[in-house]
Amino acid sequence: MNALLSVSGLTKRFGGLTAVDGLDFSVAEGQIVGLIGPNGAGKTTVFNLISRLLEPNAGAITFAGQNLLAFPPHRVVTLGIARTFQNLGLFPYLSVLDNLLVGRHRGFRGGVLPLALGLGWGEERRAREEALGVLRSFGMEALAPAPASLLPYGTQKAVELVRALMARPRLLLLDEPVAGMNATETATMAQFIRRIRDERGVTVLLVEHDMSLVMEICDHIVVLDFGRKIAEGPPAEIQRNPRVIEAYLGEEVGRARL
Amino acid sequence: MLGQLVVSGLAAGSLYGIMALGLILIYKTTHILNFGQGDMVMFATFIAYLLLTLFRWPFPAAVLGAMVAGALLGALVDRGVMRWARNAPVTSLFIATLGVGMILQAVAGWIWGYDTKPFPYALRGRPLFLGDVVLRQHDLLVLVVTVLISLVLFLLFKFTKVGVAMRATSQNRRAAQLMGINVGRIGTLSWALGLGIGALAGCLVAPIVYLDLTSMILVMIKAIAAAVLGGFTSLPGAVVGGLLLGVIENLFGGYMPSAIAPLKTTFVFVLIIVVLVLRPHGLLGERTAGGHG
Amino acid sequence: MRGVLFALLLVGLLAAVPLWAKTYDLYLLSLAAANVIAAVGLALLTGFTGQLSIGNAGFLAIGAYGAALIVKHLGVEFWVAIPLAGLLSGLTGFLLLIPALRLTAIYLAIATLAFGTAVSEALPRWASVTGGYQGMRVPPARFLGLNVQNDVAMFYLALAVTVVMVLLARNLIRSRVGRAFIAIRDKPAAAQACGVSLTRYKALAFFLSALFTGIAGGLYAHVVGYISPSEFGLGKSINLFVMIALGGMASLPGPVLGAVFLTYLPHWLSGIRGLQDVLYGAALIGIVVFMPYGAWGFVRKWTAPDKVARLPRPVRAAAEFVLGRTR
Repeated sequence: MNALLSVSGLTKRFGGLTAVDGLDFSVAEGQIVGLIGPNGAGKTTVFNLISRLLEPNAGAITFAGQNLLAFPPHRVVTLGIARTFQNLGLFPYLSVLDNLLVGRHRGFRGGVLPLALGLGWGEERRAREEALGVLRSFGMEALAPAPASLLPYGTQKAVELVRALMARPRLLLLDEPVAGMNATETATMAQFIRRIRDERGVTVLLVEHDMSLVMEICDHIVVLDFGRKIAEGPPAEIQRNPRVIEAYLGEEVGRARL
Repeated sequence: MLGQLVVSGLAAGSLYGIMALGLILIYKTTHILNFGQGDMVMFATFIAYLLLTLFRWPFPAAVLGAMVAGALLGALVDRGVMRWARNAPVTSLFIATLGVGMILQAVAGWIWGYDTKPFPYALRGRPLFLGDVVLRQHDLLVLVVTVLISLVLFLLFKFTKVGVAMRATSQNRRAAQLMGINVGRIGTLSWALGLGIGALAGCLVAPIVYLDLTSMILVMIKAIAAAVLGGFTSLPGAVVGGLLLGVIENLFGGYMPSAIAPLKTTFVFVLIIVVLVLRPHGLLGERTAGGHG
Repeated sequence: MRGVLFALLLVGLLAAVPLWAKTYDLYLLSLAAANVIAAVGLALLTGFTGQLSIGNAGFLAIGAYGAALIVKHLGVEFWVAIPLAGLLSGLTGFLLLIPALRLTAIYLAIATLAFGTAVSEALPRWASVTGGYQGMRVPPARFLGLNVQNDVAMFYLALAVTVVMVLLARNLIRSRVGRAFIAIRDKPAAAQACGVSLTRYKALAFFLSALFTGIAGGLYAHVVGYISPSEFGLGKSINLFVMIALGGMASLPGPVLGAVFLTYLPHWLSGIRGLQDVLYGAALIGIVVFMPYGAWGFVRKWTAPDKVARLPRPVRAAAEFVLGRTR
């Protein structure tokens, strides 16, 4: 198996705090990989480094043979990496359809002047149809005209995921896709993520606290603690790993004291 | 020359600083940029003028009266206007403060007329000589008042219950509310405090710029600039920003050839942009953590 | 479709105004038109892209003085000069990109304020060109050698330019550009993750805003015929900001309504001696209290399907026809 994404020696410091510390891992094409760890382990920072919203202090990120660090943040999606956000990255005042159209922003070709003169309609119509088609394939067609902020939380998470697919990514970064969802919603989302991988061949890297989901759908798991990788392997192995148990136990004990 | 320019710059700058303190006190707890501050301060200063000329109050009493009037005005603006516009976005609230300012200007025009009034200096004794630097007693007083106000505010925020509640509200309104803090009352208090201090600044700056309906507006713009320079949420930043602004402005005005010297406001603003580009949250502003989550 | 119909009807009605209106009415309408263009320009920047500006009067000044000076010194006619001045202003807009890439909210507002102050301080001091504090006369408008400096011709010119500019803005807003603007305003990080370049679209927003405002300035100069620095100070910048906030800044009808309202308000109030400032201030407060999201937000709120459904039958039918929602 080929590594689609590989991270080596990745380090990010905020002032005196080292959020990510010499991290190495790779994501093989076609896999669903989980990035887990106690709160504050640096998972979201890793995502922000991969999507280039943050500049690393050291290390390298390679995606499909290209040096990701040579690209500005808005070019990352063109290379084939789309993402969702922990606290929702939907644009609240845009409709679901418009959100999806922002998702395929890089697919538009028309120049600004023709657009201003009203000559972009053919392209716009094709894009709309494409977006509606994607919504239809997930049974969400009825949502198209609704303002994103008026949807239930779980639906917003699903819409954000669909929006990420609009860019036809090879790798999807999901930041806590089921945070705040109940068991039924979580099960639906798990199926959804699997479907995306199976039907569209999209590789998935996800950060998640819900261990049942992670253990169920991930092929491979990377465990972080204080910005360092403490374990890596298939779910069954991770569950038995003493260092992982200790890291999580420590968190539980800490919480109990609070 | 240099010493003189710096000293009188400090005196002018501390006035910007006190004015900026008033703005920031309101901004921190309510997130409203009070663009009507200039007009509101003008109104309170006219009250002092009234007390001085018509009722022949002694200067300190008149200033105190203006501060009380300013505080009442602030509370009134909050309860009477801002409270009703709670649902509006902050950009609209800023327009409401502008509306209040226009009304106050009109009312002040009716009462006191449209011509410029002289306003007495607080202290008119002989200037002090420190080497070759001349310091007017008024300027000395302004510097002392700035230090005192800073100290009082510091103690207020550090040690009193109200001050701590105000700090909590400015950091996280929702959480403060959950802790049982009456954020509405804190808002009113901030308005009162902000305009009370504003009135003091007004009385100290009026002898220099004279008193008319619009003389406070330029001072307010400078105060906003000072506040931004210091970091818009920081009280010490406001004073530091004000002092810097005053000194830089004075140095530019003093050293540049007379053709360019009048452009000192532009120069100061451009300098502020440069500072902000290097430090996007001002000199002492709080930097919120970047990124999502 | 209905929207287009109503727009055509409105433009048709406006085009017929000179048949009965007095020249002063035409002059006021032309002023309103210039304000509409400037307000739309500011709305693109502040309302849609979320870049707070209280310095747009600087662009207005560049457009006004630019157009007047181009006619005066290059000898071209005003209808060439206005777009040229607009372009000049648009290019100046890129200047503000430097702070805009680093600053947000009040910090950016101060940077724009600095720009506005710089322009309004520089104008009177460059007296040899601009005529100093006294201002300068704008050369009369000529079209293919014909003198067209009269209120009717200026009115039609203003109307035509406004229609064109509003249409351009509408097309852009409904395209990927408008979506990118809103995306940057609401969630810059997510916008970048979707492939929207902050640099590019902020640059575009500043360019467009400056272009629109510059053209408005050129138009204003030719409508009024005389310009002086005091008209382009901080007061005007705030005036523009008030227009878009009162109308509803993240829409197109909003700035149009706000600009027209604020152009006419002083004239409506001018009859009431002594009270006009109080009423003006009260109007600002009243609108903020009763229409927190501006006039257009108010209209949208009260024409939402659930509100319309509760109206009495004949009113409802009329409302539904106007809104194009027939069942």
